[in-house]
Amino acid sequence: MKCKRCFFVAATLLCSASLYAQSGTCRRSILSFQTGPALYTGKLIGTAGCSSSLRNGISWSGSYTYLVGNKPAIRAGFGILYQGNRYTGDMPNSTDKIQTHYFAPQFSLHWLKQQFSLYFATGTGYQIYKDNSTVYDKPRKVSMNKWAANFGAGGEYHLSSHWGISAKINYILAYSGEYSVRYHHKEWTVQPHYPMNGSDDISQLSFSAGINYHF
Amino acid sequence: MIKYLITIVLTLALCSSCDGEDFSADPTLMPPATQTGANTFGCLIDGWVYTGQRYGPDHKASYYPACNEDEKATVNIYVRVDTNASISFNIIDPKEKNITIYSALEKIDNDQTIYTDAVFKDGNKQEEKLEDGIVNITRFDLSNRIISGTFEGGRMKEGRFDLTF
Repeated sequence: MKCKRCFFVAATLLCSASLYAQSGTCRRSILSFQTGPALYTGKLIGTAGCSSSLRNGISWSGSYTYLVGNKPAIRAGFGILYQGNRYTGDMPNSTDKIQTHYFAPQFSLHWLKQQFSLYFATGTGYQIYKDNSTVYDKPRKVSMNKWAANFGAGGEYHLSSHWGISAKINYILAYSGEYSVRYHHKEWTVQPHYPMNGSDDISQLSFSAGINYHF
Repeated sequence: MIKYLITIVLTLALCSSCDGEDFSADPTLMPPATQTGANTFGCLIDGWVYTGQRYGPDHKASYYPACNEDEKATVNIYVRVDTNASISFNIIDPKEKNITIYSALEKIDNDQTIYTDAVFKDGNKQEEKLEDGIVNITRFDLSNRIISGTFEGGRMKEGRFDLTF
């Protein structure tokens, strides 16, 4: 009798765990929204001033991922990522307001567990770079749009079958050899002397947290 | 025939060196006030930045020593700040002083160095005469032919130059 009761409890637990696991993995689409601090790790090219505060900014991102494959534990995903970053800095005679917008298709690998998942994502896309700066209180606009690539890793904790909280670290790798600057009704192209291969690093690192929605 | 060819080649070489544009220089950023003969020039006119690093020629200053006791030595500065725009003025009796604080123009005494004949030629080649002002010469090196300093007067503010002559 006691053995039967134990079997019944174990079967119920296994069944419920299996159903929960299915609910976590059977949904194929993930929408994710995150925000957090960002770090400008590259060279501050084309800025009006080089204050140290210009390296610390904020990022925000939104992504869509579609999971493929039938293996419950490891799945591949395809999707798209948008990430924005903003950095501001003030110097005695200049200000900088850098905004970047990065769009890229993504490939990802997901390790799915019952209550959490881990993933690695990468992609290559286009980064729009604008610096709305001022020099001696006069407006100066810098543009430096470039192809870029991203590498990210993150994790998610499943709160329910639809919702989860997530955290991510993402590195956007980009290089630039020139920028254009608009000032006093004229536009110039500037090609600074760079030490390596005619261009220099304008990469960014971001740490973000947010929510995921599975459907 | 060879003379003509040499003349043509030299003229072309001279013109190309005059029109040389240094694409690595950002004309919207003021150069630092140095004293090394870096061939930099920058100032504000009506608050807008004008700099001379992007456009040739290399020597933007010319020194004219005094020929007799009645004359004063002069340094002429002529800097192209855009394809068709330039700023020029004459520094009368240049002397190294290195004053750190500007005096107002009305307080000019006999010991201060002034610049005169300031002309701003804009992109449409319209010439504007600018007011005279004060120059603070931080280096005037006749052996290395370097003149550096800061200047200010009227519509021109925050001026600095570090030129060879």
